[in-house]
Amino acid sequence: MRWTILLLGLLAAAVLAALLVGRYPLRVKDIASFLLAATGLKEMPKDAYDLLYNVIVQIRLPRVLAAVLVGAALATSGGAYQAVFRNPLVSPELMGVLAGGAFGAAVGILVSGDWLVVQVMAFAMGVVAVAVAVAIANLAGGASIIMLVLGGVISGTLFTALLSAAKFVADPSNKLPAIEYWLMGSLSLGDINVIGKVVLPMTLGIVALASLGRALDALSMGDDEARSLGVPVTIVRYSVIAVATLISAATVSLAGMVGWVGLIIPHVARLAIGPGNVRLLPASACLGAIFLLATDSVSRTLYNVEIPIGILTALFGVPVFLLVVRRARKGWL
Amino acid sequence: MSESLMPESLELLAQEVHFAYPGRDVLRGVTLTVRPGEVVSLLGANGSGKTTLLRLLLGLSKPKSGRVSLNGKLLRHYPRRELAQYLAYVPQTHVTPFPYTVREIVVLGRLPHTGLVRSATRRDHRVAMGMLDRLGIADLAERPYTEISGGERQLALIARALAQGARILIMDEPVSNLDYGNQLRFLGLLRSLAADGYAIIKATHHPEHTLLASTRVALLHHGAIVLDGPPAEVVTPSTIELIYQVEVSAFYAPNGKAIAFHPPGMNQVHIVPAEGR
Repeated sequence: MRWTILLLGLLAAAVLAALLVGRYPLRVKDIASFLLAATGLKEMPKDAYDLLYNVIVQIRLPRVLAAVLVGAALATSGGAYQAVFRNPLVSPELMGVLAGGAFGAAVGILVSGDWLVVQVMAFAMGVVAVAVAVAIANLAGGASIIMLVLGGVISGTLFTALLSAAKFVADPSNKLPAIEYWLMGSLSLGDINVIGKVVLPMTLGIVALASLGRALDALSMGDDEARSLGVPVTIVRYSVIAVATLISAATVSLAGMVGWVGLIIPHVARLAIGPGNVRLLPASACLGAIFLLATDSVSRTLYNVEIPIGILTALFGVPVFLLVVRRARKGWL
Repeated sequence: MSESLMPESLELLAQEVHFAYPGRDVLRGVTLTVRPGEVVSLLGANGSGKTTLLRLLLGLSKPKSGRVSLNGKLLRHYPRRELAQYLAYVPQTHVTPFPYTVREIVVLGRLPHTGLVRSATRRDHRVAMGMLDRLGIADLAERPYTEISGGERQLALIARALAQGARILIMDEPVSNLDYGNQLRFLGLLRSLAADGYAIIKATHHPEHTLLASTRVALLHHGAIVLDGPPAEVVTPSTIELIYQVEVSAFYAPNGKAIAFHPPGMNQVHIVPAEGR
């Protein structure tokens, strides 16, 4: 309970800070008076209101929402994957969702310049890649963990090869740089309409994963033990993989490839509040959102061009991960 | 705790059970039963089918033919969650990939009662703590399961099985990771659980242990039960030779019961008369 309040408070502070910083810095007062004006409680000159509306609602709010959603979804699905695969080194990449999403986006960029097409393709191929991984696992003899991991590795390799093929045929003067840039990840791609459509399903997905916390605890003991504790192992495993795939594929379509969040945030959360998934998954969601908000704020303000966020999550992720590994060595390594 | 000692009678029964992996018969017509108050030991060499039989008894795999039933109803006709309220699995001690506390592990035993989605209730925590207390490890409740000893882990897994409220405990080589003292304490615990009305069936590699704590021993040899009865009748030098292909002779306690088996040639002990000590 203490942690929930602390994390939600931190998240609110991070959201506020992310709304304030940028090329056109705002003060808390500006946001307060904008909110008062927007709700009709206070008058404000039209041009000042329009300026604030443009900065806050049209430019920053979509990014902030995208950062919160992407960070929360990646961290939650990473934590759920780690429990389902009984392996602390697993992240949403494992089942090939990012490789599939990257290929989908590349194809989208090749056939059309429209961002909506790119986003839909990225999402669809991310899901297809995981479906391929699961199908391979079933062909090879069942839903056991080792077979699923094998399926994920094969599917990831397949889609990485397909991505290379797409890059090879891409026009090197405009399409290829677009693909490469997309692969580095960015939160500037999302517009408010797309984000508005995915807010509800992604939130539901995160809540669904978090609500399976106890079943995930049991699952991380091993299949036989989980079954004898009354958990329908196969159904739970596939449901978790399905939901985690859907929400991480959605992050790919919103922000491209944002690595590391799904791997390190659950570890940070585990170190802070312990491994029980009932609390771990909501805490991971909050921490993931906070981490991505902070990273995105840095990417927008550090330099006069925006730094792709995938680069920063990896650069920040490495030292954070080293710290966590040092602290937690005894537990799981 | 009251729910773990329901008054009605219980019987877990395997009848004429066959099981095979591709190309290899594992069980060929096994019949075995266990009832409250019994400690049944499954004794057999590596590969004799002990673990397979335990998995069938837990409903974790299905027999090729034959039936496994609980109180007359086939295991596969029970919903998993209901079955978990009768049958608990005590695995060999293991290390979890994440440092759950002992209490968190034991509270998982309440899953079949509270369900998958609801979080553990205060009552669940009370039952879990009660079981830890009963096994004398209440002080370990907040310690990470990954940092306690093998013997303590085994006790935690039993506490989880008891918290599950199941009266039939199915254990796979429960003493395999315990030191000598913990093995003997564990055998004493089995006896007291049986006296409380639990039914226990365990796979074991220790013929001598079956003489200390089992009410029955079933001898599994090449996928068939060749003998099933009181330990003193089943565990003898000739049956040990049959299943393990080693020659042993028995050593007897003053009351005439066999207490140990040693190979001939390795038993050059001098028995010193009591008055000469």
